[in-house]
Amino acid sequence: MADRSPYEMNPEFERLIVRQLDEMATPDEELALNRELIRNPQARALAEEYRRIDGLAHDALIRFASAAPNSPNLAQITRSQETASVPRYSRMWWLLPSAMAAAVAIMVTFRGTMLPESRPAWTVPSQGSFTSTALPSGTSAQEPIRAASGLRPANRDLDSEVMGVVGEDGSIYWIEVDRTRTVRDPKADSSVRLTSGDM
Amino acid sequence: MTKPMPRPDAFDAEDAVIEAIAARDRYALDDFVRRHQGWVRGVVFGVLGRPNAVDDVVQQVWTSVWERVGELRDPRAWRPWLYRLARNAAVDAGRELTRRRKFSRVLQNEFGSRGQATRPESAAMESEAQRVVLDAIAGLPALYREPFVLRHVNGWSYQQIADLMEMPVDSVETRLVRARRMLRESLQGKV
Repeated sequence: MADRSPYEMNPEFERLIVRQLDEMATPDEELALNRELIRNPQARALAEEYRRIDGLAHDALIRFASAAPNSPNLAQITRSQETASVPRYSRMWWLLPSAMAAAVAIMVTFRGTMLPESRPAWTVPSQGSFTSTALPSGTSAQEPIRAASGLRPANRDLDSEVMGVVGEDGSIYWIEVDRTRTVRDPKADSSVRLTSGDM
Repeated sequence: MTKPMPRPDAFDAEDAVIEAIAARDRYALDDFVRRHQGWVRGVVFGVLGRPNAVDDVVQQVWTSVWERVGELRDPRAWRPWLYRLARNAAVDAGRELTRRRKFSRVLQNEFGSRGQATRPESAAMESEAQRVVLDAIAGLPALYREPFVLRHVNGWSYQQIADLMEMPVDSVETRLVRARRMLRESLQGKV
């Protein structure tokens, strides 16, 4: 432990020294400190010791901060994210096969409502495409020959409807429409007519 | 003895560089590291107080910058963001080192040693006096060491230190005074 002089025990004097070292002292503080340093050699010796140690500390810290014997490995830094992502992908190896299995399971489960062969017998037999295909140019749609409304939907939110339209060339065009299920009035006509805007 | 204080490091704008890093520009990161490595090392040393472990922690800090720069919503706030990254990394490293030292005497000797002839930064020290002083600084309580290092390495004002450490300016000043006092006492008769 250092020998303490009366000045060391004076917190205000010590604070002024430190503020001066940090170049934070106001002109008034500088004046007060300098007056004391001029007046008292003991105070001057103490301030000089603070300044010497602070200078050594400053030099040591600056040297340490700028030394960086092992400078950052930028290649390793910028590669870290790429390599870090590998384990994430490797942990997801099961995702693709699981998704495929789930898709197969869904198709098998809902095969009765999703595949064209499952359409009710009273619908027009399949002869053409089962997709929503625009009518060929030069033809016009006639009245729907049959509209199947209220088929069991593939899920609770959708209501699938299938319509067959005979073109002027005699071909049958199947139109499948999925609608969000709504509550229908049972007395209302359940047939749905498609307009060109719906297609 | 006059000491050349570094030019006060203004809280300058690095918006363009930060955005370039976010766009995965490695040259921008290199540029950024070169400019700010010194004070980041100072922050880590100020918190950790273990010169031997500083380089590894600093490496972690720059890795975090590269990986997490996307989280920085306001590029103008890069400096407090980087300070927190460095400080948190140093705190985590300090905990880890403490845990290792607690359970392994071998690791204690390796990580907890100070002033050993084999430590790498000793080669960078020009004088024995500086090494002794650095050890004395490392021996300060973190409470006082951190603002002391920030002040010296970065040349930041009391207000800037207070802003970064999220404490009143008066507290910064008090800690700096106590740091000087403790340092003087610990170095009595050594330098």
